[in-house]
Amino acid sequence: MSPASSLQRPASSCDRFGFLDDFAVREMRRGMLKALAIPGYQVPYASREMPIARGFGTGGMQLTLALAVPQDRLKVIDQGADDSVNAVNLRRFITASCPGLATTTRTAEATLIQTRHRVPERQLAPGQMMIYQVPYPDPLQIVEPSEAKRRRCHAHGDYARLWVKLYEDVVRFREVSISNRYPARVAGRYIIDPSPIPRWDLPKLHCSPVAHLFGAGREKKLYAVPPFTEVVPLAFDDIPFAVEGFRATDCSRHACATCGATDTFLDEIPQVGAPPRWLCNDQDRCAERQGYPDGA
Amino acid sequence: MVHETPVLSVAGLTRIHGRGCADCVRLTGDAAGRNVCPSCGSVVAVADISFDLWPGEILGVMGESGSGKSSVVKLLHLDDRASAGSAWFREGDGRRHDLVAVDEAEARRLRDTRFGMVFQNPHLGLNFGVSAGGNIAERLLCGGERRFQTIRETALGLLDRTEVPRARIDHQPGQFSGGMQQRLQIARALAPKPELLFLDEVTTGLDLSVQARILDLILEIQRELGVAMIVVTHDLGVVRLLAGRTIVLRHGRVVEAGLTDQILEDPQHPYTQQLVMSAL
Amino acid sequence: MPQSSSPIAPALPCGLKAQSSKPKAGLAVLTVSGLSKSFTLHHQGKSIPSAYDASFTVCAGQLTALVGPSGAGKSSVLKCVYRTYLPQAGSIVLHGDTDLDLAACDEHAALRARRRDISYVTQFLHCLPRQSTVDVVAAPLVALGEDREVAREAARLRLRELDLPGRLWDVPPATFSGGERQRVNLARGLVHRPRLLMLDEPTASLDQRSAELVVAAIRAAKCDGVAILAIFHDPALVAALADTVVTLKRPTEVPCAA
Repeated sequence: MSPASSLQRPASSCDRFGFLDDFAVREMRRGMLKALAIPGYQVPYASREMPIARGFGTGGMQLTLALAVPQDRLKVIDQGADDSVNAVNLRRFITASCPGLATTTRTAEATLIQTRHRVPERQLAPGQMMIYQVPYPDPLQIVEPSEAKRRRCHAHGDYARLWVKLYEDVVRFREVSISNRYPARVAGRYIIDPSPIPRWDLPKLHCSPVAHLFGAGREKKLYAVPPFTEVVPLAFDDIPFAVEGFRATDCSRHACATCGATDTFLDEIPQVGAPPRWLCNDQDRCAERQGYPDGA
Repeated sequence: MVHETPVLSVAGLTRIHGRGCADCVRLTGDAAGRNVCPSCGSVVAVADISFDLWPGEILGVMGESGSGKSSVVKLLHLDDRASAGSAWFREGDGRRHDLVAVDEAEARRLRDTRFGMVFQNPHLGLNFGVSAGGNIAERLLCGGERRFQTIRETALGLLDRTEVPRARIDHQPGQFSGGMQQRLQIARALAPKPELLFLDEVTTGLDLSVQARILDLILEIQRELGVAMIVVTHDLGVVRLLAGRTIVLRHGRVVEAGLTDQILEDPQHPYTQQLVMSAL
Repeated sequence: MPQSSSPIAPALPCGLKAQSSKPKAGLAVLTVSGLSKSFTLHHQGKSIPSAYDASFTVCAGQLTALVGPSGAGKSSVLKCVYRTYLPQAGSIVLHGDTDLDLAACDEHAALRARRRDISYVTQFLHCLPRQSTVDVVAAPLVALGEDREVAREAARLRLRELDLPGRLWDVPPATFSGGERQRVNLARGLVHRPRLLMLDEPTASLDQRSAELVVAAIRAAKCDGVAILAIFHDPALVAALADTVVTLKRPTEVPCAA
């Protein structure tokens, strides 16, 4: 299914498919179109009251509810896990308010993927869409408290103070210390906060075949990285951007203790009286590599 | 003799705060002895300011507080917009811009890459939340420099030139003495190799020995970099030492303009005479 | 009020060199005619006349001495030529490729003339703190865009001519004796080979040996073709050095018309 087809909602407006009223859906969709048309630009929108507290993924949830149609297949993850409390609750609410919507945990089968803090390891394909829950939409927030001034900075392309933050990091830590929410320039213009995904995931946004939609419910902002769009992490020419290495002290690469993968983002699990174990953070990827032993 | 053209040509520069009326300029100024228009209540900060600034020249702008000297600098540094007049700035590549009419994006580019500003209050000119090096880096990053090593080396070079010890590069300006904060401001202002430098009461409130070093530094910068500067001060000693030519402002108008030594030794206007006599 | 011999002049772009060819002796360099200067003191409501109707010519390789009673406005004439004072009447023409009336020209032309053509040496030496003597003397050449090392070499040459001990060259002149300072002052006034040199009591309060060295330097400058306009406190010096003597009369004090 293409993203365009998912804009087809059930005909009857009184069905109240997807919790949001039609007015809200139209506003969200208009906002998303604008966000896709101006890559990286933060589109303000009237974030609706949701039955969960702001800050718990209401931005991503509103995007999903405004986009979902019964033909979609939804995957909800939190930190790479489909079965964490947060992911389970969000999935339950969305399916309850979207009758007929199927869910899946398999990345390959999903058409809509709502996520908190991760991008699936598996290469995404046209027809899929990524929806991010965003706590802080503005990358300039760490250097400028006033939103009015931040908007001026974005308008002028004035990101010098963000660069100064990078400079100060390199001076202090000899590298850029930003581990997640790493600022990146989209389509050569706006700099975005890609939500708290690890640096590992940032290259997956670059020229990705799918649209990446970001929703910040509490901050009432939407923004997007359209398919096949340049996403370049902020970095000095002589200090290249680098993703997490997962290197052991002997410089060898840690492997997932379950599936043996050496090309995934790993979680370090401390062990009592033993060296820590390393496991794939993306549960579906790990299970897929093992041939889905649980039949999930 | 090579005939140069001015870096800056200011003509009829006027800034009126308030709604203004047809009589604002006529009813204010030195002759009227006020800068609030009695007819409409608008404040005529400056009116009809005209002067030229030549390459490598230091122009003194003198006057008491409220005379409009800081207003002139704000208008030229594009921190405020004039109500009337023109101010043509000629870039090193020959392009000319009327500072009264440039758009916001151009204003930003000029401020970031062509102008430098040093304030009396270092809190206005420095970011106290980042290190000395970061303060210099910000200006270089504004100009598009993206090589960390280059930024670092340029910052160290600027600290050397402004006599801030290299070892202080990663310290925050809050830990610096007043004189060193001013020198760091100068280093920051010089970072993008500006063509026009504004110095607003830079030595006011500093010890005499610290003042001397800063004035010395400013002259050295002028000698070696040939930057044109506008020096705003109420201190006659500062203009005498720095400026080849000086304009004297009162009630927002230029009441006297001339060679600095002429203004100090043979002032023509009653106000300048009083100013010079009360200082000596 | 003391007047420094050269306020810091804006730097010229490179390529502008001081004149090096020797000017033809006897050629008029400066013509002053009908020069009058008075000071209008607005707050006291009066006008103090200083110089009245001064006319004279200064020629290359010659020394014109201004004499007259104290208050006749001798120093005022010098300051008018240097544009430190604005005269009420008269013209002050600096001859050159094109004549320049210093009483009427714009400020940049006056500054240019100061940088290239006119030196003004008083009994006082004003310079930046911390600057070495060599750099003080080299400053006029550096202001003309000369390479710093070349300028320093020229400065050392001048200092050697004026017999200033070499140990003093690299320290600031602040601590020097009056005679040493005056020699530094004169060296700076001559280093860029100006066409016109103005001297205001250059030997006042100097010991005999220093005075002799200064006089020798003035003679050498004359031989070099420099036109000199000077005020001496000592009539013997006027007799010994002047080619032309101009006597100024003391104007009478008149109340301000306004």
